[in-house]
Amino acid sequence: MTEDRIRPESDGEVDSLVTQTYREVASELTPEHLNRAVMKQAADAARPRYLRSVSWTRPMAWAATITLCVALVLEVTNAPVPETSDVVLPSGRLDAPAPAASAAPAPKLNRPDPVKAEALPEAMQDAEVPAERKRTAKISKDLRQQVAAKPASAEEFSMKDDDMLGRAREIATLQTGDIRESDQVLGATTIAAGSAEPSCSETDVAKPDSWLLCIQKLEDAGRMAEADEQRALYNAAYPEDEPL
Amino acid sequence: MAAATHVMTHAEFRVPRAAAVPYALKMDETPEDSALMLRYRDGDVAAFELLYQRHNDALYRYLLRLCHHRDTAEDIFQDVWGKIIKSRQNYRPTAKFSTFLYRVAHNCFIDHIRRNKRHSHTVDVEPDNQPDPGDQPEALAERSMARRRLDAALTELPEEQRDVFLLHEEAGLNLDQIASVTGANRETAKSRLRYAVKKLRVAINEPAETS
Repeated sequence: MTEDRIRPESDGEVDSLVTQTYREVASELTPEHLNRAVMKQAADAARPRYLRSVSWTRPMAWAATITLCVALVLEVTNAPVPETSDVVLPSGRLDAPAPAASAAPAPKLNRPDPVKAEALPEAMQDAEVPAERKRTAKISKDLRQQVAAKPASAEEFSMKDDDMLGRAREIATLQTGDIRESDQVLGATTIAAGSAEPSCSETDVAKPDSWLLCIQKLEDAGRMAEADEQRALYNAAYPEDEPL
Repeated sequence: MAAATHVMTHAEFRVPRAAAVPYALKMDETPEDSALMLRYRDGDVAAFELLYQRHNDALYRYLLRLCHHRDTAEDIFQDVWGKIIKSRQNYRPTAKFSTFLYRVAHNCFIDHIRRNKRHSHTVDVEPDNQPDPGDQPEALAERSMARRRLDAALTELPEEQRDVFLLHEEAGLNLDQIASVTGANRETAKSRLRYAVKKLRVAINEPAETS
């Protein structure tokens, strides 16, 4: 290293003999290992922190990656392989009839089943029926309560009650599942109403189902002439349907 | 003509490095210690190397004469430079760098004494007795004896006086700077230096038969 001595400012306190003698005595130089150590320390400190961190983070990242890969491979190789006999294939359902909407379980496979995809609109239609049934069942229950509250005598029925009867019939026709029950309930009132009732009311004629129901009721009641008359009217009104 | 215009334009927009960096080195100009330290603060290791080469030997001798123990001096030496390196981010060139450096060294030495109450005064530093081949044998012997006497007298000096003398001789500090480093006032530093020099002169001029 340099041997250039820094010449102190003269304060008049140090004579030249002492200075000269001292400089002859003190001529040691810094050991090389100290120079290297200090310069290495300085160079390490001057490096950016992220570069310093790279020296250990990179091997650590590699080690972590390799460990994860090995763990994944071991996990995959040690996992039990499902046998093919355990897998239930949905092929048998191709011939099966479309299940009822209420009883159809949710499909477990994410893959769309073509058979189910075709049956889906029908199932959706069926799925709407319970809601409709609930609504009509509630109305019919109210109707039953009204009927039960009133005495079923023929003279108490008037033309005013015909509207309520027609409404009940309409509900009964919508409620296909409860139609017999509704007929049983309403049968007594119909019989009680007597033969003065017209063959088919305007309400019955308004819809084909209720009209057909009315015709059926006329036949059941033995009023064949009226039934034939209504059937002819029905065929004329709905020529596209199959003639009755 | 077009080329001349291009050169003029380029010269106009060229920003000199000295203007961009306040402490940048101009041609044929020795950089100040504080400028080197600021450059090192910004990551210039070469600046630190230059700074280190300016001060390393003087600091080493200062610590060696102060401690009179080579291993201790080396430990303190590394400690001092480590603190200088660590303090680069907070370094402000408000004072002369050598004052800053030797204040750190002085404090490290004081800390070392406090940590090691049994401070050893073992003298394991042998003075360099290389003879000057141009001198006569009698003169060589006398100079060698004078050096030995001075080295012994330096060892025998009180610690404060030795510190002041070494700061004056090795670091080249004046009395104000010595006072700043040691924490004493200027008159105290001046008195210590005067006593130290007087004792050393007496030791050098001692008759040969006495030593």
